[in-house]
Amino acid sequence: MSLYGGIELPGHPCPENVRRLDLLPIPQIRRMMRMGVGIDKEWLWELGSKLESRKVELRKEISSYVPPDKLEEFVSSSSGEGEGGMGLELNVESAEQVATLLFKLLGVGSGRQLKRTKSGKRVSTGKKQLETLKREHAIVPLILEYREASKLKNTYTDRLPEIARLHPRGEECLICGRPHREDHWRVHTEILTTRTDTGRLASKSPNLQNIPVRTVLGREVRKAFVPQPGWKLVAADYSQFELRLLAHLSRDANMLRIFREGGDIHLATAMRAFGIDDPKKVDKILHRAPCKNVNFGIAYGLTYLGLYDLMALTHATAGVPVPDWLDEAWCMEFILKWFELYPQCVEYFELQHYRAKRYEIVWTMCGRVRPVPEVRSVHKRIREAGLRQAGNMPIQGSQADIFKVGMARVERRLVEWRAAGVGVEALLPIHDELLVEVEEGWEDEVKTLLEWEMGRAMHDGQTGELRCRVPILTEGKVMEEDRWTKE
Amino acid sequence: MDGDRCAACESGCRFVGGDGPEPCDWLLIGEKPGREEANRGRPFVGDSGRETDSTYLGLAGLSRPDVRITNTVKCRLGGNNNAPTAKQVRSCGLRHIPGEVERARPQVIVLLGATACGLVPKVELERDHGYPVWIGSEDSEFFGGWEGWVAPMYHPAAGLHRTGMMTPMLEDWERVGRWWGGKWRAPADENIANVDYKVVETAGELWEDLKDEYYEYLPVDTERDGSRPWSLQYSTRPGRGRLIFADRKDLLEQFAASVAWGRSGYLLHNAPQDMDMLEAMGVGGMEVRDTMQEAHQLQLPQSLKTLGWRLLGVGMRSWKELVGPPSRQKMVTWLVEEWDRETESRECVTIKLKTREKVLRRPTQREKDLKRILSHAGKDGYDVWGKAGEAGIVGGPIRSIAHVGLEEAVRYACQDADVTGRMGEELRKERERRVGGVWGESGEGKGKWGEWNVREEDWDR
Repeated sequence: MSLYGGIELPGHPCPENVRRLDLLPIPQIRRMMRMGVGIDKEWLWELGSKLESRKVELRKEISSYVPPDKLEEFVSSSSGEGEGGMGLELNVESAEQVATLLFKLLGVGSGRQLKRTKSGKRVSTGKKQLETLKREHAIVPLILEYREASKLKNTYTDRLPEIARLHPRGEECLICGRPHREDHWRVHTEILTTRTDTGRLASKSPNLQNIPVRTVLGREVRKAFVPQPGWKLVAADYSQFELRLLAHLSRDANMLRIFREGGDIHLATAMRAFGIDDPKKVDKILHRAPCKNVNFGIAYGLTYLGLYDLMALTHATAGVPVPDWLDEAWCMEFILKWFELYPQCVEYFELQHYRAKRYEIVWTMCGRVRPVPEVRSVHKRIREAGLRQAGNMPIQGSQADIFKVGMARVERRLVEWRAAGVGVEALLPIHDELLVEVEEGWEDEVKTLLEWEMGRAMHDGQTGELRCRVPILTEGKVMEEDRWTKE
Repeated sequence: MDGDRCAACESGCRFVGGDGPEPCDWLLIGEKPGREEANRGRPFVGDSGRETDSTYLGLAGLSRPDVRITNTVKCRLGGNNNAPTAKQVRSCGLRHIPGEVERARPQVIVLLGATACGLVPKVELERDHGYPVWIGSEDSEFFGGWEGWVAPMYHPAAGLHRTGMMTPMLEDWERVGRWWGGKWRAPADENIANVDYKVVETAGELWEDLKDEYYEYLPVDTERDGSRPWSLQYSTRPGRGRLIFADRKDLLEQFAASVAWGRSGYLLHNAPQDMDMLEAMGVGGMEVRDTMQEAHQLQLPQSLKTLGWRLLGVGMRSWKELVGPPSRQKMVTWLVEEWDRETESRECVTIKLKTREKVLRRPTQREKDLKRILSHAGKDGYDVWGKAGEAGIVGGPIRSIAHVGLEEAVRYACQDADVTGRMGEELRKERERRVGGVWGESGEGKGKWGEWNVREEDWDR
């Protein structure tokens, strides 16, 4: 009984199994690095100039909040950042200036417990902190937007066109060895198999796995990735994979039932948590959002403080004020309630904590080991961080293990397709999503192929029997706009 | 304490001296006092200190009262997050440490973190952590002529910031304890005296070589010249390495034909890179094993040089060290030629003076750039390629093994294949060791750190 490629699910540390597993995606990874991902340079340039003008507007707007008598102080300490003739402006890039403005001059967050920087010198202006202060003062969202625009511009719109390589039209491209109908530009990332404790694949120079998807601007950057002329982009990802693995590993009867019946886990959780009988009465923000946040966060050791931040973010994104009753105590109670709904998940986390304390290791379904040295620490916060990792690693690591089997299954079929003359290339793994490029006309077939092969990653290689206690679902998508998009 | 202050000290920061018995077998040297240390006037009493006392010292069979602890720099200059500058280390360290070493007369000096390791230039923290090194009286100017063992260690604060670092740190302390108890010594390269590295010249040699089936997976490595393959190296048993130049198509063809016999595939370090080169040489398509992945799966370092040193005791030169100087020489020669060409093509401008005409030859921007780069090219650490690229001067020679003397290049390249082969064996043994024992066998009903043998009732089912 083993998965594709002879990979086993031993349920105990098994470095020999992991050795074979990690070799499985290598052929596909090599091809991906050689192929690169197509980019639309004009799109990026245009987006870059839009971001630049937005930055100028935002800088002006932010500076208008500085009391006029204090503005000179800021400008002199920002080493001439103010633009002559256009009025004096604040240097928004300087965290020091932002902190002074927000917390000393405008009194944002007064009366609240604010996080400080590592050195303790001043109040932190980190993203997380500002997100929670978003509704306190109109300047905070502006600063966040400025920072995002600045980051996107520096990391993507300026950089990607610089490092892209031209794949010329012709029968055999010197870079990737494939025929191309037109000249086009592609960005080549380095995909690393040995950078993470969990076994996930990483990407660097540039890192294409962390292009933001939560914001409008971030999604615009993603749209700069395009197929080569005459081809289509297709992506497939696993649906709620980590939660399904939690159900499998914990054998929680309620969770298993919901997944086996094919229900919406967030909706089902919300109905039970809030005692609602009719699915139509479930409110997206009030009921479904906290459940969704906990469902996704629980594998990462979500705490009540974390849930509070997530809920604040959910409300801010939806443009709805956070209700008075939603406080940290409510979040704590809600997490306890969640565990009451799924009691065997408590046992799962306790088992991982036991393993961490007794053996000082935890392991994935394929037997990849992550030591938990933190349990030896004299500091409670380090021990707790270790236990959170111990709860998360078997889930995230197993997901990475199974994804690699899925990649190998897909590549085996793509080799057959290529031999039959169909142009098709896998381009990029993004945690549990695979991005593929295919000649026009074949996109629907490739979508079905991805869904099928990735979805069968946990099926026995010989008998075809599913080796997971819940069905594994995948969702494929053809990028209709000929740009990489994600809901 | 004012008399103890060095020139780098700012008034107002508290002097924090050493703590612990004198004389003492173990002298631990950290970086500098933190906030807690400065408040209480004692070293290692904050978060790092508590972690050291209760988590690490015990693994080496030590406890706080047995050791003397001090810092490289004695005051909290520059706050918590700034490492002391070289100037501060010299000023403060030279003033205090020699006296402290003389009074403590230690058997072992433990260097905690990069700043303390900087006191002994021959120590490289990344390579040597947890491996005691013998130093002579000439090896450090900070110890006043003391000679003995130094144990380089990561700073305990490293484990507080990146908790994953605790894994190598726990191993290091435990290893130092075993070393002190005479139960561990650093691996020594047994093959160093009789390594056999050479270029394959004939088909007969190659045929004879590949008959040796010592390794199931043939250890292979490649070198490249820019994006083109330069050579293929393989090893047929420990201490042996052979090199085939990429332009010897006849030998590569024969290699491809004979290598499959009796072997399961190639053993590579960082397979994706080498596989590209192997394919370009027409010898790809074999099954592979990757020692870099295998090391990562066991939480070992991934660089072949570091692994070679730590697991096999093989000292290896880095690619940069090998290729840097000769390539730089080639680059400088090319830049001089470019400069000559540029000087000749200066634009001529004729100016009418009162009595005669004068011809002016104005230097171009490119000529000025070349002159500037060449004037700095002799300086250590000056990035000639980077600066030339910035000025748009491209097309010169790149860093390449092709510029290195033949003997040196062959030795370097063959050693990589040889070490990869030996490493494969070590990693296999290490995998078996980790899961091979019986839980609790190593003593007191508890497993040893780094052993993964789990009782069957605790497996997933």
